[in-house]
Amino acid sequence: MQTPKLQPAQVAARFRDLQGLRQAVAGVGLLLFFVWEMFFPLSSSSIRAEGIGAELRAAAILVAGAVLTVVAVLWVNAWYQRSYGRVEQTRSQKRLGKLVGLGGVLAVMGPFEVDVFTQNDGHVVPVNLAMFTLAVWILGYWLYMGRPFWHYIVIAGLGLLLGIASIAGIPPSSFDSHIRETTLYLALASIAGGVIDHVILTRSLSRPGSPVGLEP
Amino acid sequence: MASSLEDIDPLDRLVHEPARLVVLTALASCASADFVFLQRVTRLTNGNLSAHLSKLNAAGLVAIDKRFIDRKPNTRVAITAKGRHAVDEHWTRLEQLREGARGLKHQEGKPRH
Repeated sequence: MQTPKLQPAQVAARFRDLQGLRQAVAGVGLLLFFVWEMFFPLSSSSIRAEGIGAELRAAAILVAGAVLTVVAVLWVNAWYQRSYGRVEQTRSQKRLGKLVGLGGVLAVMGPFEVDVFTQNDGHVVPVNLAMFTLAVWILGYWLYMGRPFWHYIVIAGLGLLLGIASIAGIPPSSFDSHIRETTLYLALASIAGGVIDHVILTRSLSRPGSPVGLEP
Repeated sequence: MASSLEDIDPLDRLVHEPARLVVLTALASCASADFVFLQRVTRLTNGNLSAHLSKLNAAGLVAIDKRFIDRKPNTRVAITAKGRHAVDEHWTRLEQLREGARGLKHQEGKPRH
């Protein structure tokens, strides 16, 4: 299926959000973290078994990974500015963008806080709440981006299905399984959504050469 | 019977030119944009885009700010209040024109008694 081509006003209004490779690079960073965590679990039981040295090593690798990801995102950002230029958003656009971003952070962190709280209490939340809240937030993100960005509906739908599966005990509920499943989903969603957004941007902004009007 | 099209004000040729209309419409939906972005949007060459921007600037429809970012020259363009009004007005006129044409078509389609 062909990706949509946006009108100049739509591109200008959502220019920063359309620079999907930044999101995709952050997703790759998260995916690498997920793979690394599968081999060297960060769960409290494994850290207790291996001692404080393992905890420090894990923290150092986490910080190094986060720094590398931030550097990669900044490099992609600079590439976008060189290739596609700069657009400054209006104050209301900036405010709305910040609100959407904050919503995303809360959608992930809120349910994890609930998981941590109940875990400390000796219980396990039987459902992956973060998967539901994240899927609902992605639906909101689709409303923010607009109708042509239908791929976010597919991504949100997949999240809702995974959330429903968690009610049926797939995977079995635990704090670790919730955090792993949500991390993998978030990483793949960021990569897929980001790459498609980037394709929409490149389709909408062609290189100079086929002008819309030549008469100066 | 007079055509409803006759009631419509003539189009502003400065705004109506396709490249300038694209520039103004894009600038109306953001605070400002630089030369590279506008070039991507219009697909014009440096010289052609500069000429269009100069005309818009001379008419007071856009404000041009030349600055340096990381020691490289960067031209930032923002729509002025006058430019925003002109492009809004232009789209309204185009809509009126389309509505007028629809009305004519509708009248022509009616059976005569």
